[in-house]
Amino acid sequence: MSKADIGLASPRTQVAHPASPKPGKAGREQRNLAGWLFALPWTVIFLVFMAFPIIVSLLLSFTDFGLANLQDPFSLHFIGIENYVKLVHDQVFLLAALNTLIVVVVGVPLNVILSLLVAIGLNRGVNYVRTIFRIGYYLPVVTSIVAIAVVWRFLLDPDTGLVNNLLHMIGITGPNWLGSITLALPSIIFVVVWHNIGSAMIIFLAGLQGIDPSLYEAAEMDGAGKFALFRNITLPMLRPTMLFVTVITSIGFLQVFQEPFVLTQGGPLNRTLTVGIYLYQQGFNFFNQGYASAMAYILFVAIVILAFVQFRLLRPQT
Amino acid sequence: MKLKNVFMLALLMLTMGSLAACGGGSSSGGSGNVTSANLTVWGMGAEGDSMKTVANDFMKQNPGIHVTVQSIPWANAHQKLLTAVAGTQTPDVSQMGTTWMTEFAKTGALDTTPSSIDQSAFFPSAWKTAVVNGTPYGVPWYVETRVLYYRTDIAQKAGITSPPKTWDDLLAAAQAMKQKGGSKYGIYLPSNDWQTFLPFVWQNSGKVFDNGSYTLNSPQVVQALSFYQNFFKDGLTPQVEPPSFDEVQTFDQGSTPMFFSGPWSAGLIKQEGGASMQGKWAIAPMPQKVTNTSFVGGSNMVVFKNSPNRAAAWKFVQYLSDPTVQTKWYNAVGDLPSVQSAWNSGTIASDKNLAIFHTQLGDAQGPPSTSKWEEAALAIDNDIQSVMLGKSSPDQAAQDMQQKATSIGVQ
Repeated sequence: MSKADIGLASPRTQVAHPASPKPGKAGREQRNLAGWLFALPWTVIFLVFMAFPIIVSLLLSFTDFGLANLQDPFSLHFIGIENYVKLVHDQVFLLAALNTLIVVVVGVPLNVILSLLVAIGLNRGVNYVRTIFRIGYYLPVVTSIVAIAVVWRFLLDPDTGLVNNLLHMIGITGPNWLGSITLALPSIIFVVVWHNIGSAMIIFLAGLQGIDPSLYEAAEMDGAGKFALFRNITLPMLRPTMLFVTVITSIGFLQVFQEPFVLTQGGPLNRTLTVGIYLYQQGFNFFNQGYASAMAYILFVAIVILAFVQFRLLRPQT
Repeated sequence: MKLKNVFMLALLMLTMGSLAACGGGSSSGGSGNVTSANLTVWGMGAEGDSMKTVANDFMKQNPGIHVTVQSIPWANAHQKLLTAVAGTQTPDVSQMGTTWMTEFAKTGALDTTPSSIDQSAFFPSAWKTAVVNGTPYGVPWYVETRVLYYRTDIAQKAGITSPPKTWDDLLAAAQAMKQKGGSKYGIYLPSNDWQTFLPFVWQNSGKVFDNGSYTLNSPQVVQALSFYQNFFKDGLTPQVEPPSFDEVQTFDQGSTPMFFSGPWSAGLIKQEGGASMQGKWAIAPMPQKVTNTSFVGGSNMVVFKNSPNRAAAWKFVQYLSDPTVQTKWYNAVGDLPSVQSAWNSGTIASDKNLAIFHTQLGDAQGPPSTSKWEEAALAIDNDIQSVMLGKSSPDQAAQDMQQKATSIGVQ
């Protein structure tokens, strides 16, 4: 435990505090001004493109803003929490919420575990092979989602796809992956995880390389085995990284949109419809923006709750 | 994460658009004589690409008017048009799916058709798609209707000598082609496409919309659903098509020897199948129950009210509906002319297949003209699919459609 504490604290203690004399009042104001000037571009962009729309959409979620308001935005009506009440009774939304939940519950642990394993493998591997693998695992992250969709559609095609042809070779008749009610969502989760493993892997790699090698040396000298090293040094030292990756992945997976949108458009029978896609359909295909905003806020609250729980469970123990 | 950005951008455009709308002045419209203008025209899919040639011809005749054609994929078109209207960033002229007319007319963004355009030149069923509450908001550009495509060679092997004329014939033909014709399936019917399904309701003398409200739970709809379901129950059609499914490809391969589609498929069969498909397929009118009604669709050309060059815009639209330009357009793209006189000469008049489309246009219907139709249609698609996958009975699905469509509303 004490070793872990030292390891955690060491980067912070290395930052030396400048022993400058206390600045006077005028100096402090000048520094404040300079600070604000530096922060100004970001602040303006944040206020205009983030804060303002966020507030407007909160207000919209209490209105019936829709198609009729396209030309005449101010003829909307405030309808209180009607949109939220309607959402709770909307079968399609409930199914979309369930699908999204399944993606998070299954996909996030899968993504974290697999990317951690890949990162550990790459951290130990031979040097020049390592680079090739690192690129290989990271490539899906930077590939255009449309290209990914086209390729996976071909791979998962029930008759001509590579996956089913390989299964055929070992005597199995492959299913209709994306067209089956039971298999469509698992297939989507697989593609989502495959698509996102690279970014989590990079973060884990950085975390692994930040672990002080002397910890391992000391433990080895005490006779610790490979598994004990992993269990008692790697995992505890990676705790902050793990928290970060889990939170970021969960936020991303709760908003899952691209993969099912390009691969199945939510079908068959809405089995791959996620909250993100349903929100998009309502907001932009049908222009029920009040209703879509209400949905966005429910999603927002879900994200906040999930992130809060994860911070509670995974925060560094002292 | 991307989604959030799109959402916020749209909101921003919305607010900015409303501000701009307050300050903007209106400019002259109508169709007088225009000598110079810059026009932006939105075309969809393949038509958007080919329209550039037509626009060049138009510019040669009207040197002062410059036309810029922007091609938009069909999949994005509806949403892009909505966003454009919301942000008052509309083009001058746009192609518009006939099923969207009511929705966009009701936003107030479309200009009414000037009286100088002669409505009697068009097919009455096509002109009807441009009329909302008695006012025309555009001009039919091309029409399409659905017919039965079938493989003559496989039919022959299955002992079928003439194309199916009735519902019973259709089912029997699909069974024979699967059992005796040696193909994997008998037909391709999509499991969730209202455009393929609604003709069966109409053929059964049913209606989906009557007197201002939906009538989706009528016995005629239930019967149509259970007839359509037969093909799925008996394995005569693929259960759920994978996203990569291409009905023309499987038609050429012979695994789905029949399907319903519009005129564009004829071109695709020739293009994808090449010489090996020659003489192996034909088209036939819709099968009959009470009637043999088909679906009528196509595209209209609309002019936006915001356009500063409305006169020039209408001039371009009028040029597109000229019979000779329509004939040329058919020759280039294969879209069926919406102007009746364009059918009287050249290849269009002599082609045997086109005669079938021409006849079918005489008995074809469009979807109900309600601004919420697209939203109701999505719910209907899902209920159709739920029957086809055996998750609900035709009766349950019809009740569900009716309930969902009614709660979505009409407006």
